[in-house]
Amino acid sequence: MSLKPTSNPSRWQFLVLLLTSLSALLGVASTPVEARVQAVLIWGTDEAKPTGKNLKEVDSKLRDRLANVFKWKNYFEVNRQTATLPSSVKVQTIKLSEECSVEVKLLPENVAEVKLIGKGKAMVTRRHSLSKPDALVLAGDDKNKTAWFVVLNFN
Amino acid sequence: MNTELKLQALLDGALDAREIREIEAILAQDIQSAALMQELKWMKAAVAGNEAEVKLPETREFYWSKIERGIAAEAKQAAAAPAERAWWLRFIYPATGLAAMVAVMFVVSGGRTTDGADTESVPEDVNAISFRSEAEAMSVVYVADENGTFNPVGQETKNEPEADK
Amino acid sequence: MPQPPDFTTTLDVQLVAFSQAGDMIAFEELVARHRDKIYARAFSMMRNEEDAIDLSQEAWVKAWQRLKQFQGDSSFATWMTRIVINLCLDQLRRQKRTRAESIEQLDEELGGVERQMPVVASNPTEGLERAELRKRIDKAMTQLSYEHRTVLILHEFEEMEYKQIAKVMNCSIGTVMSRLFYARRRLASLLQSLKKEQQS
Repeated sequence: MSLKPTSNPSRWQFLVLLLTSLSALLGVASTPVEARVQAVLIWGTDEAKPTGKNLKEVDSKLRDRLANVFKWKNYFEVNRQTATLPSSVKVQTIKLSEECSVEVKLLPENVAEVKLIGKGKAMVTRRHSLSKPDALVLAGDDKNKTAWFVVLNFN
Repeated sequence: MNTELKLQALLDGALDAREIREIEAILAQDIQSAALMQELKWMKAAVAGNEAEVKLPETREFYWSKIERGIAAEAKQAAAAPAERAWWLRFIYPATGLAAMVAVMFVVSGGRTTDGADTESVPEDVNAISFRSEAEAMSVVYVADENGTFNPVGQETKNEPEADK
Repeated sequence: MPQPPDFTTTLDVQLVAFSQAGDMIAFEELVARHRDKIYARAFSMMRNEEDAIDLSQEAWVKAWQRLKQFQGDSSFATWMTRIVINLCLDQLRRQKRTRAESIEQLDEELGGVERQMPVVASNPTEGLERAELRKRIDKAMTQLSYEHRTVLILHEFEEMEYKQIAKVMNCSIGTVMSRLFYARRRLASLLQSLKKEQQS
């Protein structure tokens, strides 16, 4: 019994193959190769700086930006970390304090996925477009009418 | 109405002509009533136009974001409420929505998108609001937690240690 | 990309009309314009920043839902203020049900205490600078029960008549008059005490 030779792909099959390859190529191209992220943990309060603490006020530019949006008078920097995010690394974890860390993941279409982890649990998951110059600020109520802020800047 | 309340009503312009004549006659004769009337007048004059000035301690964007969220939540709730409708009306909204979604996807798929960007998700027990301040170039997600159960800053950072006091 | 409309110079009545047609940008402009006044009223009644923020925001949500009912019989600000006053009163009633009444509050409610107060013989606010006067009045107001404070606020600041207050507070005109009388007498007494404290 002789086998019939396989027929050449039709014009439609070829078009589908071409489109699939093109979209896959576009997907890879739109994932940023590398990004740097700076995460700053800040404490906002109306009280003066606690004496004997190694807290420094956030720089005046950031302080003004925060004070234009939020109600607190003073903003103290608690921790600052910078990390590089190569697209090959799936998730980059940045630890900011005992209770708090952020997980950052680069996604296609110039988007970063940021997960705020508190006490081991994801508090907020936010997808943030890197095509805008916006800082991403994750914030919340703290004890005694104070607040915490995690300010993330990407470049 | 007793005399004291009539005095007050006179002060507030709530008496008719006959009652005014009556109470003015009492005022002319009774020193105690006149003294009480004077006290009420002082208080009315002191309070009128002297309300303490209070300003909302939140920014326009932050304050509005919660209102916007409240409106959206109420609209969602209203839409979910069962209503008496013609049977075909039950299908018209999903069908329209589906058609609109298909149309949007069709248009959007023509170009590069940032689909899924600038969205957030939170667990059910976390109450968060999000907003953007264009002026300060900030996208904000704020977790409302009146009890302050999540303390990323840590108590040791905020409080003075005993030795420092 | 089309720019959002600039409503900064648009009149309230026009913004209301746009909002009634579903324009949320116009409504946001109304919120921005009147938010301080609405918050201030909530704060004067609640005497608590957080409650005042929450209730004022709730009032704006309610206003959006009821915008179609606004016929323009009063100004938009007055209509909004009535909404926030009602919400504050509901909240204060709920709070009252859950807390124990002090003996003084019960006396106030039963009436008659004001008759035992000596009449203040000299003006306790005479010669005060406006800022100081406002401060003292505000301090004295915090010491009144919510019923007395509210009657005073509605009558003196919102310029409402007895019968309007009775309707809002769900009580008789007689009760409004007694509460207002007590509030004024108590205020005189508190302001006199503050004056004495300052002098000593």
